[in-house]
Amino acid sequence: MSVFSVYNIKGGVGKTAAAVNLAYLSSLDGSRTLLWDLDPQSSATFYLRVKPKIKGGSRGLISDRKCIGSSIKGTDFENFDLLPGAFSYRKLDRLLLDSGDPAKSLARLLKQLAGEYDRIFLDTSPGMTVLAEALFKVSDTLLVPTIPTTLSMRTLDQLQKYYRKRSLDRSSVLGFFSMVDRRKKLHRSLCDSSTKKPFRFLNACIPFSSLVEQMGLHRNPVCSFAASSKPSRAFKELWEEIRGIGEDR
Amino acid sequence: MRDQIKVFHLDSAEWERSRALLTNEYTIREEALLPGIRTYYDTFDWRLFRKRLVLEKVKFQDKTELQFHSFDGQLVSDTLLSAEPGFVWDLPESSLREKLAPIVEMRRLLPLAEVSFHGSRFNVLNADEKTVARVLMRQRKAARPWESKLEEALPVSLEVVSIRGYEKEYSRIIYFVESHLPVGKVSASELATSLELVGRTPCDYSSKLRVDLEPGMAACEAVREIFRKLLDALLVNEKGTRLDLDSEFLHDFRVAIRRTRAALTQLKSVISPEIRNRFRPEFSWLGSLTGPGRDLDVSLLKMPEYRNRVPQSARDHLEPLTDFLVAEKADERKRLIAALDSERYLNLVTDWRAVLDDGPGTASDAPAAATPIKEVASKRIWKIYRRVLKMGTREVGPAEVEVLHRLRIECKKLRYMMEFFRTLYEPKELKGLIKILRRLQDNLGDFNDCEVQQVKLREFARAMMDRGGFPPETFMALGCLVERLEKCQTVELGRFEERFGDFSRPENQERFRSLFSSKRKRAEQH
Repeated sequence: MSVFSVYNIKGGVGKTAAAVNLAYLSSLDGSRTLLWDLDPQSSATFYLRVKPKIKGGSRGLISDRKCIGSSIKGTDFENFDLLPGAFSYRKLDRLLLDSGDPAKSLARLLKQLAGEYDRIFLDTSPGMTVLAEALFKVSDTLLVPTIPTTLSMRTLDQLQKYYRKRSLDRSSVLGFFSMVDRRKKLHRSLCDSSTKKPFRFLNACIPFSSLVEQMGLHRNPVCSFAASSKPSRAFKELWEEIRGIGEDR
Repeated sequence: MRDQIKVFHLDSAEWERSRALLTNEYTIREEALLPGIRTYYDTFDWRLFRKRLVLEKVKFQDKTELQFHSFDGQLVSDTLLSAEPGFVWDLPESSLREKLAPIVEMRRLLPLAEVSFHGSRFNVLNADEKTVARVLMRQRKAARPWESKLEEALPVSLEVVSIRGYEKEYSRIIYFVESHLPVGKVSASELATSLELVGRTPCDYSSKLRVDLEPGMAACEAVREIFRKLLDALLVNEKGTRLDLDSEFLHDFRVAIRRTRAALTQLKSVISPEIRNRFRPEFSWLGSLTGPGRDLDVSLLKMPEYRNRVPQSARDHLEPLTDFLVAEKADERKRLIAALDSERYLNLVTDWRAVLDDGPGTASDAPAAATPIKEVASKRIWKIYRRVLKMGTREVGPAEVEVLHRLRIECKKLRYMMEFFRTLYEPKELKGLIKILRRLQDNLGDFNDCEVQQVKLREFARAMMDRGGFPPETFMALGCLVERLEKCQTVELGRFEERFGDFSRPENQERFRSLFSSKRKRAEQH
């Protein structure tokens, strides 16, 4: 089982759109895929038309009172399940801290799903949280969508410093440009620049597109309702790259 | 993550009404199910069916998948497929191939029935327009493979499929379907129904011989029954032998001949001399025709073993041998087909059938024709058993290959007799004795195999030399292989004493005696 976390310190960078579309594309390979919506806003859950609810709440989940599998919902797509988001995830940081070892608690929950799924995607909320720190340790791949702006690039430096300080494996981090608007000079120059980036960056860039925003109207992955559109093609390229790197490893 | 599925059957005339009932009750998004074809496969001797396993090729859109599952639908394994399934070694490397190989072995996977299907998928939506369950309705037609014009309609299948996390909705839909739709329970699997529709009977062939006999039956009747079964086995394997579908058709064809010949010789007290004298040479002729082909088959099947026997560096040099064997096999097959097309063969099978069906045939002037069969069988088995004991008890040295060869043949006769009359004896006891005999036969068979293979490989090498064009490395590899087989033969010879010791242990002798010796029985009666 491979664990992919979609994360950025900064918010509004297209994490959820990436998580939903990448998980959907993974399921099209025939791989049993789960998307775990860890964001209290539960946007991924909304996109997939599922009610945001976790049996027993966050406390039940962390304390193992409720089996994690009992909250899973099948999506409209074959091989693609969702562990829905819930508003109670706002307490997740505190509960993880109380457990004594956040990364171990999270790893234990993921282990319960290992036999059932080939790939798990985690959609997270922004910020340098307890959950984020645990994710760095349990993820096989940390996917970092990044808007090509100065502030966004700055957060990558912060992440790099964090990784270096704690001697975490930086090769597991894969950045990619998201919400790219090539009409903007800054976007163009950052995307095309060959200056060294703090992490390995993927070639595929996800364009800024109103179609991605329309996922909220269609309540479906853009790769499903507009399969041949520009953003869908970009997500497919991105997934090909990520999968290729995973196979090489 | 496995979905729950409940399947119902529906009369095809009820399609529209069922559709209307569903769409009135639920918010439905209907999608067309693209047409597809499912082909069921098994070996000629039903190796998968006997183990309650199903192998099916599902073709829809541009994708072809091979699925391997149990009778209850539990998936064992699946793989994508680019060519027609044939031999297991031609399948793509996959866990499916690994799981299939020990069951199917050298037998070809043959198509049994083809089911074409198309229909609709009804996605049942909730208030958020989220799919909470699916209902799949499929029109299906079964046909014999490659004869799709002769289609037979199967009942419409209606499947309710659950979606994880929406079990309550699934149960409600099941309740609705059961109480409002004109559905019936599924009485048989799609495989079973299709087989019936295309006129196939599961397990209609097994290479194991089973003749149901009664102890008090007149011997001539019982023997006639055995011969009938053997002739059926011979004829049923003829087509596969002609087409060379796999090596086992010729093998079973040959075994039917050998068993017939053994019965003609061993049960002569029951068969009229006239019949015996007429048919023995004919079956002997037919047997001799099948020998060279079988030898080539054995060598081809042993190629992977041969490769493992020679050093790594010489393995690829054995490849020209495979090419040579394949070419020889093609020539041999032509010769065999010509013989099977001959009048002599046609006369043999028709006359033999006529004798078995009509004439006083096997009986008439034979001395033991009217004797109860169990008496004849026990006497004969006991006699051969004692002969085997006598032959094996004498000193067998390395030079006495001939003695072991004769002993092997005697054991084979004994085995045939025990199998012909299997139903006359207590099954568990007979099975136990066959097992004891089989252990000895395995040793003698392996010893003989090594001998025959050496002889054959030398013959092949000479023929390859005469033909020319083969690299010297191939002959060196063959030399190496013969040497290894010689060593292996010595090992088998070394094992003989122990195996025969086991076979002839006093308690085993006692078991044979109590089942077959008439003296013992008479003593018990008194």
